[in-house]
Amino acid sequence: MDLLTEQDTVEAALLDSCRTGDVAAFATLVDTYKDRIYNMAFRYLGRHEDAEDVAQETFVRAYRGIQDFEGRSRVYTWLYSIAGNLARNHVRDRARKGRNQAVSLDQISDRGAALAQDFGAAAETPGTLAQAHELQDLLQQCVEELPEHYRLVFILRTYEGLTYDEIAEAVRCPRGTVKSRLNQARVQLRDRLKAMSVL
Amino acid sequence: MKLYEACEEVQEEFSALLDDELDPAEVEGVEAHLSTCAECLRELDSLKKMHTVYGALPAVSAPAGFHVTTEETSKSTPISLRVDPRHTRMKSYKPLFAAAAMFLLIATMWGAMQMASREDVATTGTEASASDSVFNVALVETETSETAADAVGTLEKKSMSAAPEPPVASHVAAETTGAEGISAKRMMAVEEDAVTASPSFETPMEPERRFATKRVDNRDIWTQEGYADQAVMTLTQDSPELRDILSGNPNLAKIVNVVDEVVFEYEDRWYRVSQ
Repeated sequence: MDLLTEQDTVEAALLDSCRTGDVAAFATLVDTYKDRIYNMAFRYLGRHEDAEDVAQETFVRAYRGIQDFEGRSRVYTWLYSIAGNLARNHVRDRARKGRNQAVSLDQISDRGAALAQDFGAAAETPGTLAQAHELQDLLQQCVEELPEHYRLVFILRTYEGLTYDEIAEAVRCPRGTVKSRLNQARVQLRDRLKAMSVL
Repeated sequence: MKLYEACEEVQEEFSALLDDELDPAEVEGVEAHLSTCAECLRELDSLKKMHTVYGALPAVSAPAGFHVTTEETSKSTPISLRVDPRHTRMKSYKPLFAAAAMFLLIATMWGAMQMASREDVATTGTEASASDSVFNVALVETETSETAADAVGTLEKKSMSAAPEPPVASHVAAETTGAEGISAKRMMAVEEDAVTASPSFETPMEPERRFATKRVDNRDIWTQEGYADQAVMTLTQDSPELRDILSGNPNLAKIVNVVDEVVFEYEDRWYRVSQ
């Protein structure tokens, strides 16, 4: 039995237990995926309180819908699918109420020069560079400015490490669309960072 | 080997190349193009740099107290309470007192609701008086009062099971309906943002499950959206205006006495009371 099959079997057993109303099994499911879902939501929304809301609601909905989850996709792509939709709705809701906090890149572009200096100093160690708090904020804001359909695939790939097939499953679009959106997302991000002299 | 005719065509493959998602023939074709095109090489290099920077960002984890609450899960895991630190602080030095007070309040209110309900039946045509004043109350327990919060949750469930016809939402933090002529203004979880990807996930709930999950939703509404856009007037404990409001609303008075900070709506205006 290879690793993937073993993982599938464990996951299937966990889901079966959840479907029978086994609370401990569901708690295990939450425990297994909460960090991933939270991280995705945070990268999408940029605020911890919003990420927590979305992550919690994701699991509440998963709990309600677990009977209908047929297991044809991986459970985490299903959870990402729910979380992605909730996050998107959250952004729209905030926009309706005029409470989106995304800062226009025009407003932050004056920080680019200073960050570029840091970048120049640490260009050979981008890992170190990314630790810089301010740059993290700026990178996050750039992601938040991506169009929604680009943003989700970018997050699922970059932060969550999903394959294109898994992203296609979570976003419910063809693999080719994932590939194209991801490329567009990266080109946009690269161009924005370049415009701010960060790259 | 796949042949690429234009730079644009090759550049569309760069992202997948970085992700190792191209098949060998595509990789071979892209590399062949790159060996003769300095512009595409620069393009790929800049994308690679951006890719590396983003890839180095640390993951964030769910907070330590992260829990998901449904009726079933709450039996074995702590009730998850949303905390709005801006507006809601239970007196940290009196968690048990608070739990007891909450219990009394819930019991009182439930009894009052039953009495009011019977009175309504007995005195037909008098419902106008019950809607003279309307208030909503927002309060949330803090992390330090989880014991109290759990107790409240448990007690609520007990009161639910004891009730012949459980109310749809009887949580004290969500709404109250008192005998003193206060009609609750319901803030139900608004499902206008239906999850389009999973419509079939919405399954009919038994009353208990609906109650439990709705309570969480209600708390979201209350703490984050119920009054976030409202002008909120701050009242001190000894202000005549507050005394005037509380004199006609003893249930609200009990809440104000228990919680450090309460935000409520009364006759279409929002008030905050701090200790």
